[in-house]
Amino acid sequence: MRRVTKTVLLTSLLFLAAPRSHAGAVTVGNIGLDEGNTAALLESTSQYYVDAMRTLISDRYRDDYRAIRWEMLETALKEAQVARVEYRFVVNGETYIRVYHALGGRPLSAMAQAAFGGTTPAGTPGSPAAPLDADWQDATPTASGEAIDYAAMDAEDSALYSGFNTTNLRARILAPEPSVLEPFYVDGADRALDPEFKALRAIEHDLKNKVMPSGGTVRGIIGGSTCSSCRHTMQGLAESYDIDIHLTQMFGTLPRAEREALIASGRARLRGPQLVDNLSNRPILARDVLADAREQQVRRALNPSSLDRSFKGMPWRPRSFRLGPMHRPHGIETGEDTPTPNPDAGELPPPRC
Amino acid sequence: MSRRNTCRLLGVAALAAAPLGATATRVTGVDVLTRWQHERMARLGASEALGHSNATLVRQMLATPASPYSEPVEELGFTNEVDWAETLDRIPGGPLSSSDALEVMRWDLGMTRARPGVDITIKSGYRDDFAAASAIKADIDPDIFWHVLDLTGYSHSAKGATYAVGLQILRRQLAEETDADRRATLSIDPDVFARAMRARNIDEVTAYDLNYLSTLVQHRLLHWKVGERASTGLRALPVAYRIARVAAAYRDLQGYTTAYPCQRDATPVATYIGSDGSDPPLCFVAATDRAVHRWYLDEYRRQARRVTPQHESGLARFAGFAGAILALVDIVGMLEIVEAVIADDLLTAEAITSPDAEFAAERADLLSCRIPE
Repeated sequence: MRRVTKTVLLTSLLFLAAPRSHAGAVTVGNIGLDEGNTAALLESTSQYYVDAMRTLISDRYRDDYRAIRWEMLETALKEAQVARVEYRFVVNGETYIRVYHALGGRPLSAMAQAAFGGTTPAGTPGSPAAPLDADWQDATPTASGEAIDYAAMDAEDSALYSGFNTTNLRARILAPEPSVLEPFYVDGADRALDPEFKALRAIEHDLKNKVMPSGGTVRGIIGGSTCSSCRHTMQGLAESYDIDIHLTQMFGTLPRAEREALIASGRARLRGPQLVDNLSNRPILARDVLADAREQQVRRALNPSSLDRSFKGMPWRPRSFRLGPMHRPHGIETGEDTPTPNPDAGELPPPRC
Repeated sequence: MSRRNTCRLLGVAALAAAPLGATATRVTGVDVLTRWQHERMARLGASEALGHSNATLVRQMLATPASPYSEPVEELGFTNEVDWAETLDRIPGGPLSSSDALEVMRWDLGMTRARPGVDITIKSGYRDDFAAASAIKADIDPDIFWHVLDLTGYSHSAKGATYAVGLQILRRQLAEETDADRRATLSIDPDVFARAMRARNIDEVTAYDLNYLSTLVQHRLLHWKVGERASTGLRALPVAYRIARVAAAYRDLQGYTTAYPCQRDATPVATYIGSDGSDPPLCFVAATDRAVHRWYLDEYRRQARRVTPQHESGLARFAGFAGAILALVDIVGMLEIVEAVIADDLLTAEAITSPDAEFAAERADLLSCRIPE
């Protein structure tokens, strides 16, 4: 099977005429099949936000159990696009990498507020026939004033997050400031809330504040696709800071010829609209694999039925098999030297572990 | 070469005449456990299909489940059930013979051993054939194997094992994709591999590289993806058992203050006497992967208690990322957890219903350690 790779090089006439000695290029690579590590890395990014949402709900909405609201929240969280964008630079011969993680859309607290506040919406947000309720939908910002509020809200949300550090950083919504990445709107949506733009704005912010030097390279993965207008905007960033930008976007479909070749070879088949592996029955497109992994993360952490238990005075009980900050297994802190129970012989782990 | 090693090599030479593949399998591309669970849940529903515990299933499949050296049971009751026949007929990539399907299940559930010349064909580069057998079963190349040990020393070799597996996963990806642009698109980073292999001590391995390798390993621990072919031609071992086997190889190389735990013919010196805290050291090559996995969890904790890395040191950074992996390695030895992971995948694939998956998850929840809020 031959993979179809499409790489788009956008170098505008303006860029060619620019007075700089050299300027960066923006390249966009496309990924269809789940190959390499894009899904794994974005799954890891997504986990930060699922964990933060769990913290938020635990802090503010413990008593607000109404299944429909939880479903809305789950849908919003798993459908918001994620991006992971690295900035690589060299200082004194040493390579440094800072990773900016971003979730598309409004801050988590605004997302939760829209789900739990106001009246119950008439239609579910997942139904294509029933557009989102006004209460749910009106939070999409259309004016810079609202964006300022979101910036402040997102800054306050910082307390919800754990696991970010000097290598892995959260790309927040930033307050308006002079930027080569001017906010712009496509189909009424502020593209500044796209996760790749949050990340690029954060990189620009750090470059301007001399947190890191210009002249580096950007490598990013988006759990979906970026708009073509967005690429032109990125070009401005590349030129202004002498950086090369390489983004990987995930497509939800394959070119027809490639898809048919996969099916004809016996490797894949269609299950509804989804292309799945013929042997494992699992999705084979990176975007589907990521969507499934994120759905599992949300289900494990925010499933309404498991949340129900937490409202009866019981602690949260998310499953342990997940990415992100982990507890250390029992025994390390306590200094105990008891052997691991042998479940094969019917020995179960102690309930306190 | 020491006399002890010479003697053991003679023993291995004698073993070479034994039939190969006694418990290993070359069957790849099929996932028996998932298909079997699917069939059972479709017919019986989750509560009955998952009514067995880890112990009850293992009791059926291993002759002496409490022993780390148990022989497999050849005739299994569940193979007479209708679900098994359906599994063999309907399994994608099949049909499969019952014996092949059982071999695959034993392999994926860690019920096989690593006896040199019996289960594993030895190749050079590991300096010791018993250590080699474990490392080869884990599918770790000699240069990665030795380099990680150089970085961590024996004091932290249990943590090091996780990175050896991460580096090997990355090397395989690099070998399969050679185009530089395509590697960038797929986030297959040759620089991580080069930097990690160039590092002279653990302080030189950056937080980024540790995080990257840790994510590769965690992703494979989180999702039940079995059936790949290892470089040995055998079916690839699940990642948790690969990690445990690498650590076992390091332990064998470290040497023992008492007698070596294996005879020259790869049988244990001491008879297993039960889990009363006085167990003799494991003869890893004769032990099942499940037993090595249990040993690994204890060994990790022993090493963690013995040496507390200084805050902000490279070792502390390394320990932090390895700890995240351990939390996942910790739980996959239990069938209930494996079944919950599989159920999650089946639910996402719309092959089972949400209540069925929730049942599996609930059952796993009761066994896994809670994450403190």
